[in-house]
Amino acid sequence: MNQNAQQSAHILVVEDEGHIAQMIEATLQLGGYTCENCADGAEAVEKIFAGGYDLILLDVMLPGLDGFGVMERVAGLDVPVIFLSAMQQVTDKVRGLQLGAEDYIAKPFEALELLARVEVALRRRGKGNTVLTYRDIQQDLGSHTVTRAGVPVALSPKEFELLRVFLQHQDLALTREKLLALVWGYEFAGETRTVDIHVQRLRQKLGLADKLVTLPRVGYRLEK
Amino acid sequence: MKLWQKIFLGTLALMVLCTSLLTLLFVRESWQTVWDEQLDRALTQQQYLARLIKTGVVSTRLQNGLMMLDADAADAAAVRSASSQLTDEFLLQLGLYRDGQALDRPVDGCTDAMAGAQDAAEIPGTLYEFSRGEEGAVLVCSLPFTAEQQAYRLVCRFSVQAGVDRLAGQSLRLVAVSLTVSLAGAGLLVVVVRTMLRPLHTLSRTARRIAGGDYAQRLELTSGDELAGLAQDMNRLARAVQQRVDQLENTAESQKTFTANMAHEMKTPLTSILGFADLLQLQKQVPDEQRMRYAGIIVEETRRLRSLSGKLMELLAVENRNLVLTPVDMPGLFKEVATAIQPLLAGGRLRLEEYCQPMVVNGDRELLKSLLYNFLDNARKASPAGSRLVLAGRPQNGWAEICIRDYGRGIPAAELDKIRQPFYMVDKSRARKAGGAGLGLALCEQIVRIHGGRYEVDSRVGQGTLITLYLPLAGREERKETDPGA
Repeated sequence: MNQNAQQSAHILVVEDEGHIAQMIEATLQLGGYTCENCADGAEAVEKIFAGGYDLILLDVMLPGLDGFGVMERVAGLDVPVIFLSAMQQVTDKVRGLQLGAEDYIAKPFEALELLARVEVALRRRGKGNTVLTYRDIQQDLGSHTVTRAGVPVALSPKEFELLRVFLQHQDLALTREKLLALVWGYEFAGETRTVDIHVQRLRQKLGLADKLVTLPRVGYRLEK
Repeated sequence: MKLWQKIFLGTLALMVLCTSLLTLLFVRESWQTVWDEQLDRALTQQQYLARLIKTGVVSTRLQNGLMMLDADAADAAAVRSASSQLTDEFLLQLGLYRDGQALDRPVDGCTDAMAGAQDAAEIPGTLYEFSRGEEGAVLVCSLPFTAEQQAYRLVCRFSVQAGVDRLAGQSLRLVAVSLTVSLAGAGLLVVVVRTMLRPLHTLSRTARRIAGGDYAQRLELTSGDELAGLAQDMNRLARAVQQRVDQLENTAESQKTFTANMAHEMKTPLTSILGFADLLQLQKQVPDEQRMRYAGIIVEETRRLRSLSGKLMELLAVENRNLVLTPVDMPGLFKEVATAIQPLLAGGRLRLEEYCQPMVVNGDRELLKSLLYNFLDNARKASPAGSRLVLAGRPQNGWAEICIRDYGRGIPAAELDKIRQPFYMVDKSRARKAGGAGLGLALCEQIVRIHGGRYEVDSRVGQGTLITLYLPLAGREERKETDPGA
C-alpha cells in the first residue's frame, strides 16, 4: 500500500499489552515496515541477539526483565532502540537515553508521531529511505534536492519538509495540526493558516493541484 | 571558652590560692624560728660578754688587792674589759652604760630606756629592738648586770642581715615550689579532665552526623557515667527520628508508587484508544473487518478506563468520607449484598451460600456493603463456571468474624503479600478481561482500616481462596484487649 515498502525495515516490537502491540503493528505496516512482536523481556534479548532487526521498539514496563534490563543486555549490539513508556518522569527518560537508546516515546502517542520517530531513528542509522518518489517527482533527502521530471524545483526549507511528510505518508489523511507538529514543531500549534499557504505553494510548484486534495474540516491527503 | 579550659583555669586559680596560703603560713612560721634563733644567739653572746666584763672587773680588783673598787675604778676596769672584746660581722658594736650615760663611745641605735636613763631598778631585764638601716637588719640589745655593786647595762648591736637573707631565699624557693606544684597539678588535672571528656567529642560528632541525615548512627559508650546515659538518650532520640523518617519515606514511597501505577493504568488503555482511533482517521479506506476490530478494541479499552475511574472515585470517596458509624445488622447486610451481586453470579452460573449468626457491627452501612461486594466480586472472578461461593459470619470474642470462600483458581503463595498493593494483579490479562482495575483489595483495605478491623487471606492454587475478615462488634469497647481469632 505504500511504496516505502520496497525498502522496508524489519522492526521488533517488545510490548506486553496485547492491544498496544496490535496498534503499533498496524501503524508500522502503514509506514511500510514489517514487524515482529514479543511480550517478554528475556525472550526479546534472545531475539535481538539472533539478529535481523533494523530497530527495536521497547516498552519499559515488562513482566520479569524490564525494558531497561533488556537495553543493558543488548547495548553492545549496534541496533537502534526506541523506548516506549507510560512513565513520564524525566529521570526515566534520561536513564533510557543514557543506556544508549535512540529515542524515548511517551505513551500515549499518535500513529504519525511513532512513524516520524521511527523514520528519524532509521535514517540516522542510514537505514531509512533517502530518496522518495511520487510519480515524476523525486525528493532526495540526502542532497536536499527535488526534481520534477528530471528538472530541479526550488523549495523553501519548510516546503521541502512538508513535501517529505506528504511523500512519506501517501494516501493518509493528515490533519493541519499533525502537519504543523511534524514540520514546524509543536510550539506552532494553532497557526494552521501557515499550513494552507505552504500546501498551496507545493501544489503550484509541483503541479499537484488535483493530487494533493483538501479534506473538508480535516486537512490534506496526497492521493496515490 | 571550652569546658576543659574553664576547668583548667578554675583549678589553677584554686591551687595557686591554696599553695599561697600554705606558703604564707610556712614563711610566717620560719620567720618566727629565724627571729627566735637570732635573738637567742644575740642574747647568749651578750650574757657571755657581760660575764667576761664582770670577770675583768673582778680580776682588776684582785690584782690591785683591794676589798672593793670604787665606782670610777670599776667603771674604768669595765670599759677596759669591754673594749678588749673583738667585734665581728655579727657583733657590730658594744658599749657600757651606767645610769643612762655611756661610759665609752655610745652604741648607735641605743635608746634612753636601753641606756637605763631612769632608775635602773625600775627597768629590769633585757631590752631589745629591731631596726633596718644602712647596714641592713640590725638588733640592738641591752642587758643589765652588776659589778662591784654598780648597775651597768651592756648594749650590743648585732647584724641579723644574714638571717633575713636566708629567710628571703627560703621564701622565694617556697613560692617557686608552690607555683610549680600548682601548675603541675592543674596540668595533670587537664589531662585527666580531657580524657574523661573525650566521649563528649564522640557524642558531638555523632550528633552532627545524625543531624546531617545519617539516622542509622548509634553511640556506644560503656563508661557507665552520665555521658553514657546521655549517649543512650541520644540513641533513643536517633531511633525515634529514624522511625519517623522511615515512616514518612514509606508513605511518600507508597504514594509515589500509587501515582506511577495509576499513570500506567490510565495511559495503557489511552495508548490503544488514541492509536486505533488515529489509524481509523488516517487511512483513506479501512476494510470492514479491520474497522470492526479497531472499534472493538477502542470500546474494550474505554470500558477499562471507566472501570478504573469508577474504582478510583470509590477509593477517593472512602478516604474523604465523613465517617458516621451506626449499628449495622449483619444478617440483613448479608442478604442485601447477596441480592446485589446475584445478577453477576448468574452470568457465571455461580451459587452463593450465605448465612450469618445474629450480630451487630458499628460501621458505615454503605462502605461495609461495598467491602463485602468487592470481596465477593473478587471471589467471583476467580471461580470457574458452576462452582460455589460461601459468605458466612459469626460473633467471636468481641469481633465479627466473616469468611468469604471461593473454590476458584487460588493465589500463588509468592503473590500473597503483593495482592494488597494498589493496581497489583496476579494475572493482568485475565484480570483486565474480567474488568478488574487492580484496586478492589486496596479499596477493601481502606474500608477495613477505617472500621478498625483487619483481614487475612488464605489461598491454595487450584483449591480456592478464603478471606477471613474481622470487624469489631458493637458494644465491644469494654473487652478491647481480646485479640481477634485468639
